[in-house]
Amino acid sequence: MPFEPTPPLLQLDGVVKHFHIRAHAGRPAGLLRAVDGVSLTLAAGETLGVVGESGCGKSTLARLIVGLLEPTAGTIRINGGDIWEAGAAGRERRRHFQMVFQNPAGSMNPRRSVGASVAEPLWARGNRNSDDEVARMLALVGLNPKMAARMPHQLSGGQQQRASIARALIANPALVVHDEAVASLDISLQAQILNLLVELQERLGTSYVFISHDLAAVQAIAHRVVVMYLGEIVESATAQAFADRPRHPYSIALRNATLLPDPVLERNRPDLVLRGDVPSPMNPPSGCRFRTRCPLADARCAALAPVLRDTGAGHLVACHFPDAAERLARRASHIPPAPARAQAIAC
Amino acid sequence: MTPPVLKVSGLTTRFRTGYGTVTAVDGVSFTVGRGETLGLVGESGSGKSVTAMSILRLVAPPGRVEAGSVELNGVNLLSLDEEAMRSRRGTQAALVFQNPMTALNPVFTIGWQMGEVLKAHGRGDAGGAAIQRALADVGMPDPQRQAASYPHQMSGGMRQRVVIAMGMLNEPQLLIADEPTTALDVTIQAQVLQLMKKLTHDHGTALLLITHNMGVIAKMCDRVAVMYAGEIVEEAPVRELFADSRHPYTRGLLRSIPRIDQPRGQLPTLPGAPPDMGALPVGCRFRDRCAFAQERCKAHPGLLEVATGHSTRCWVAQDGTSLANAPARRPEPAHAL
Repeated sequence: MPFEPTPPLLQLDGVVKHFHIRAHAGRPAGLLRAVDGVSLTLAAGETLGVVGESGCGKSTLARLIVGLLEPTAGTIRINGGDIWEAGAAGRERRRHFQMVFQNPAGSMNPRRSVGASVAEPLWARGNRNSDDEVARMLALVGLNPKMAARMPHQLSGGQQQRASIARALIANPALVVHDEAVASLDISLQAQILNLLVELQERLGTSYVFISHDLAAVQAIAHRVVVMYLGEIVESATAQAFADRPRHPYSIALRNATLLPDPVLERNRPDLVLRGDVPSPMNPPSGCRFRTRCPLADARCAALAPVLRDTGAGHLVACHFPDAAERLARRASHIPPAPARAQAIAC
Repeated sequence: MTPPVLKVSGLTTRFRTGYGTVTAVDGVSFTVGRGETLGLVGESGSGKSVTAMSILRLVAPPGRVEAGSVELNGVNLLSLDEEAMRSRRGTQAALVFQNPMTALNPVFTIGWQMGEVLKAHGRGDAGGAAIQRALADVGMPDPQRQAASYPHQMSGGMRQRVVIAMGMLNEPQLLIADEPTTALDVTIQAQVLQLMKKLTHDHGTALLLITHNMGVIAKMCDRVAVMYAGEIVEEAPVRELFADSRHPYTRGLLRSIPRIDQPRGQLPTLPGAPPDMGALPVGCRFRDRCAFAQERCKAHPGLLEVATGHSTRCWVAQDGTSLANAPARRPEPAHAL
């Protein structure tokens, strides 16, 4: 780590979260490696996008960052201070975070008014005169301040998500973690919420960690993109570098599987269909965890776990093949056209 | 020209409840030919799933198909008795649901459940061989072992393959897939889409693919029908729909989708939200959100063909005016109420 005069807003070093799973109904006991050695940094006012599929540990990572879970190993620092430092200092640091959840209806108390839910973070700090602040925040997220008096079920899904965002921002947090914040919304509303988040960030300077399974949504909002697979980071790059040229075979496959709303482009690009499913995080493969699905994997990948190293300009990749993208492109061009191809490399 | 496998005309399904009547599907018409894939796209509540359920007569009260006809191979399904209808479900037309966990019975093995499908259609003696062939067809490794396993022992992608194998077991001429990949991860979605493409290609199956995902439409479909508030608002061949959309809703929707080939930044959005189906606006149902809305949009537009195979339900586009050049009022800020 190079010397830095001021510490970054958020810094994770070798963060690990393991869950002990008890034996149940024939299933053996074991250790679930949800997050396994994640290091990353985030500067003030920026957005870190974390993308990955089910079971890659992205939601556990979200909960670790906001302090809802304590890491098994590693440190999480905000402005240089460990959030799990014992005593008042650690407790105070954990207050700098807020979170927006996937299901806006389920994350609000159905029996309290929207205004009361939005005011909650202020009340938690002992500020009871919150009406003006609630009205101001509701207006900021594009809701009519009169909606404070309504109950959550009287709002549409998009309005509920706006209210959740207002609640997250009202106490002026340094960092908001969005865990699948647009996944449950209809497409025309997703764009509205993504725009709102970008707009609010420009106005308030809040940092975001934006966690999603949808690479397109992540690229629409993130300054830096991190790709996770089975609890580990496999690639980390600036959004521009990632959009131009992802380098890890998994990132490339993920990008390939994220369909473009364009029939001409979509049908003219080569398919890269991964075989099989994500292995269980209770029993990850030896060496590189992606090797069981990777078209390039060889003996070295089974023996040795690749480290995340800088391939230039802060573009980090964990792969034994520095030229993975070129190798995959060469393969794709040799693959015969569908449907014969379907049998050749899928399934 | 061979007659279409499925011909839906003026299909109207209403839900009459104590709170009022909702016309979930309102005069929907389309056809799907042999080996063809028609995409039915729309947001939640637009009526796409109720359309699928109406075709197979699976709408439960208080919902009722109140008008229209559904012709499968020339026979109107809506006039059949229940017995005749049941014999056609699964053999001539099959349905694949979004959530494979709820479509499978958790207490029986996959093989047993697939056997039921055969038995229900008098092919019980086809037995294990047919089941294993169907499982092998959808790319399941070791079909014999898989047939003996329970749904919970499989991953989501595997379960969806089983549901598709079940749907294809009696080689139906029509497969209706309602959001078949929405619950799956994208790399698994790619596998399942590739599989569906191969199966429909090999068997000449007509596929009605229902989804909200424009990327899936772009990848899979020959033609697309766009639904909004219970109606089809535009129908076109897939390339034309994406390149030269003739309805402001389709245009707005397509432009608002984040794309992996575009950098970070503000997305053009559609203002507002879809209307409450219990209190639809008079005239064009998209009027409140439309940048091109005019006085005449207070009258309800019909679905009119404006180019070969390309229909739209928009007064402005029906004039021949290109929506790219039409005078648009400045859309309100995205988050206005």
